Amino acid sequence: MFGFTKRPLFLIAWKNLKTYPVRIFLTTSSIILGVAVIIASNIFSESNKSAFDNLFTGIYEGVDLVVQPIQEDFAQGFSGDGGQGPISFEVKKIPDEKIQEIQDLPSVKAAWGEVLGFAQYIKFGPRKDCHAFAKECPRETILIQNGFAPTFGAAWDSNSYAQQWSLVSGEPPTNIKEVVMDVLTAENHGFVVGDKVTVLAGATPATFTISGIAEFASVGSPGGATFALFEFKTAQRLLDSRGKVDLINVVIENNFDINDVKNQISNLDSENLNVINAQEAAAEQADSIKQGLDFFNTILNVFAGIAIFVGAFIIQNTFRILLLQRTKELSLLRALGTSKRQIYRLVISESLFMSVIGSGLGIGLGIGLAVAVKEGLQYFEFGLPEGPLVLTTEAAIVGLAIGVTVTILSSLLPARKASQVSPMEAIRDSVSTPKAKSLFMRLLFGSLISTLGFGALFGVLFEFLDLPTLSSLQQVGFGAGVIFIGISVITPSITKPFVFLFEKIYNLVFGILGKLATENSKRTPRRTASTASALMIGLTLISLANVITTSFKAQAETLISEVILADYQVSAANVFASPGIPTGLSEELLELDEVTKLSRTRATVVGYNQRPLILGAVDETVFDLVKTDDIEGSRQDFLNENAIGVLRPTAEREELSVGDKVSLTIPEEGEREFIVSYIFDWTTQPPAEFFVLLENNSFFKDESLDTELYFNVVEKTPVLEEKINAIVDGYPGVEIRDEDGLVEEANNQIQLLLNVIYGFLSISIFVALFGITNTLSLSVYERTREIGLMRAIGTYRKQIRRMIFIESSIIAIFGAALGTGLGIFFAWSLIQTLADEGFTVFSVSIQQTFLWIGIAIVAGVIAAILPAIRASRQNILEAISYE
Amino acid sequence: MNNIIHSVDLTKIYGEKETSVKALDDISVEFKENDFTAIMGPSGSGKSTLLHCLAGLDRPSSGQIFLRNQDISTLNDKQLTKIRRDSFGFVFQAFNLIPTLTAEENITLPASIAGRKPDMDWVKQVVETVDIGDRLTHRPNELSGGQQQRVAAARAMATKPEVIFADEPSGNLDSKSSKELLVFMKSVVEELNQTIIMVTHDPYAASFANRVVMLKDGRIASDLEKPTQEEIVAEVTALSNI
Repeated sequence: MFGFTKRPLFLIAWKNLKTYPVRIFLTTSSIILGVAVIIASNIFSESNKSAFDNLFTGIYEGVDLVVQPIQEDFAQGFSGDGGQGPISFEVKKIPDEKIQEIQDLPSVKAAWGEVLGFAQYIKFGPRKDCHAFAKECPRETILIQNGFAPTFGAAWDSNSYAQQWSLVSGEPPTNIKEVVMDVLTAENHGFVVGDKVTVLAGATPATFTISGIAEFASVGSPGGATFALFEFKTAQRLLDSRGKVDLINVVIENNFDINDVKNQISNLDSENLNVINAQEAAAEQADSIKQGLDFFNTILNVFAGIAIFVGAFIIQNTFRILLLQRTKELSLLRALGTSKRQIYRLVISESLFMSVIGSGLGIGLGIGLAVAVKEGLQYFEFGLPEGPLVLTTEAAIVGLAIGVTVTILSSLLPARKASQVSPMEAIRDSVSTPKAKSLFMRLLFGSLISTLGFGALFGVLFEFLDLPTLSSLQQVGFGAGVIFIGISVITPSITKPFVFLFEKIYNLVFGILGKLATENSKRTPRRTASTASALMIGLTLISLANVITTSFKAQAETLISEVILADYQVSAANVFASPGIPTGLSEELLELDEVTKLSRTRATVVGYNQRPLILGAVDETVFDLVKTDDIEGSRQDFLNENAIGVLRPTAEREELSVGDKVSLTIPEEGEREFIVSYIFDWTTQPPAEFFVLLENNSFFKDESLDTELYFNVVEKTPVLEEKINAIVDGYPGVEIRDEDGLVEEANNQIQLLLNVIYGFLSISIFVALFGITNTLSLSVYERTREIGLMRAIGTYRKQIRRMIFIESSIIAIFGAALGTGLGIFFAWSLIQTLADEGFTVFSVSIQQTFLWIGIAIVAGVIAAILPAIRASRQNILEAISYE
Repeated sequence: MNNIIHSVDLTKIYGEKETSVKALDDISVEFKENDFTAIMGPSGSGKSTLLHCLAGLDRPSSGQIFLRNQDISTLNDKQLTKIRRDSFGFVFQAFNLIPTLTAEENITLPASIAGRKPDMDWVKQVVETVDIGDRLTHRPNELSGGQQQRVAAARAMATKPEVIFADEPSGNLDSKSSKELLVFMKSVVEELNQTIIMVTHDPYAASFANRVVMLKDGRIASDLEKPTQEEIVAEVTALSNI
């Protein structure tokens, strides 16, 4: 029986897809990847958001109200430092008695105090740079940290209403020698109950026994931070809170209104106590963190956008290819009386089917990718909060919608072209080759667009054009984008001249096969160009990132060697946990004969015009050890009694000049007046905004801690280095670096960022590979006869394969060269634009550049494997027969 | 004259059991050195299949093919490819030339893919004989159909092959170009001592050959020495009437 369908074309579309699953794969590969990146980035940020939500609800779990001390105005910005550390100022705390007062209110069911500060677990282990088989490896202090997360110390809440921490194993801390560790740190660093562990809280480290391991609101630790939970009194002593607490948690009786209780507590001491609703606070804090995460999400979405953009190129190309291969089939349909409109719809409905399947697969792959990224970040100890992966319906719908829309839009033009097929094609015996159309208009248009882009870009660099509403950086970015589009339009018309450039070399190296391959890539310049364009996008971004980071590295290197005149710099390894450098260290170092010059830096928070500012104190020698630039006044005047030095930006902001009087509120000293005597630039990261001479100011002399030390030695020798290290090792939590160490540290941070960027951009290269495979498949298909002929007259299969590989390498080199060129140019423009911000070094890493071009070529050859095999297996008789 | 290529019990079957077609049925035939042979027969007689098998483009189902004394029916693809490249020359009905290469590059293509320098004296002589000396730098699409086929013939001879196989070489040409090509092919055999085996359905083209082998249903129906065009037409008519 014959079936009858009202929608025959829909049926044909569906049958086509069922018959040729490879087509679906080829066409949708790029969509799958694009959607996968969108989904992965979404899952990733949603999961983090929900993890942070859990975290903050966890912090206030079972708590109704939180009582905080009201801080003095100028200390507000610094609360959380716990009132210790080198930048010392008084953070107000709540006296213990207040807990009892609140507890005594009839409306309060329970009230308990919390003590929070910084504490750092440390261990001693072999030096990281030790050779694996070194006989003797000096041991050093290792700071225990989960990725970049902070390190906290707190009091163990023994109140029965406290629900934040719950023990996983062991017992709560009961004496001054016990500590409870968070489960994340315990697992990451292999601690179990009963182990001894050293904790640095305050100036001196002490050893504790781990009495228990606890988890926080059912996650290992909030935000991956390390936690040392002490018995209450011990916590108060260690965290600089004797007789005081940082905040009080309150649980109210059921039959009272929360706002009434809030007022009652506030009325106890309205000048010093601030009462907030715990649930509101949780939501607020979670929101502020989530805003920060949105930035990360935006970056991920940009990468997804790039993948989709590259994908669109490739889908369009693939559609064109597939439709060309089906010319006969379509023209037969036309000959049988199908209208152009129907053909158009046939192709569109095929693309609809494909897009749905592709987007679905993309969502699946996205989930996998999210898991991979999460694991990857965990591996590098990025320390994002623990939590399940969340795929929201919204995200799935957005992914699906984008996938479907992009696919269908990309199929419009090819569909239109396919519908124009003549019914005569079916009868003609030939594989149609695209007709060569003039590329002159393209060249014209592309040049025009590029010129506009160059105008916008150079307008900034040479200061002749300033587009309204755009910052100069935005204008450069805009110009770069326009140039990129212009170049994309031009590429087909420069394919021939480009290939011509290395035709000779190819002919020389590969002989006739090189000649054939170069000729073939010139034959369909549009296709060669659009395939290369997909690769160009990825390579542009990669070389942009590459050059920018190489330049930043070079910049950091020059900067560090220019501005750090000292041989060694000493600082606190963890500025939060360790309160600086005990002054004993500088004394011990000065006792060494080899130390020629040493400068100490100390800092404290002072009030100026009702706002907090950091006041630094330095030795006179500092000017020989750190590069400073004179702006006004002199160093000599700075040595005077009551003299104060001001950083240039601060002086400009506060409108201060030499001779002005400055009044500062100094903790425990009160008002003091200084005369501005020296305005200067501190060329590195300045430790303060105002500076005074250490020996002139008694209140600094009494400090027991330095923030930084700089010193010079007679000559750097390994023996001396050992001596210095031995001294420094006596002060856990203190870090010493020489110039190489500083450079290395800066480089490591930049490299980490670069690696993440590379990871994401590799996806776009991967997508581009599918494009190359598709293009070559078509190219092979179109040349069925040609390849058959070559085989007939004695060309080996191996040679045919080689010819396709060579052709692929041409496309890859074309895309890679254009992309790399553009990327380097964009990076140069960007750095020129940033010159005002202090970026002056432009440096291209030749190795990295060639490495990526090499990777692109290798990738291109890999992409050619399938088409090459197909070409070499071509049936000779089919290709040359006419009957 | 010596045998240059001959087949023994050559059979070619296409397709599987029920739908199989016997294209060649036990053919044993010999071709002599420095001879110009035409293979004729109606559509489906197996003439092209015979040529393809002899030329190493297709594999027989059974039987053997000897190039001089070497059995080439058992060779692998690589060995066969080498024989096609070094010992055979080809002229097909159409699409003989690589469109991206010039006439000269097409002529020297077999030598190029073998990685050899072509014997330029010989190539010059061939080019002169085919009379395309002034078109050498042109690409195929700039040549007429007749010129293209002459370039193809020149390529077929450029490596001094043992045998030149031609599959309907004049099939796509007008009568003038067709005659020129056939005259040239005849002169190649007579003056340059080449061996040509040509498949054609055109009695006029076949009349240029020294020998005409007629095929019908995969078997040799007749073998004529130096027939006239009239004799060929009579034989073809006789064959199609049976």
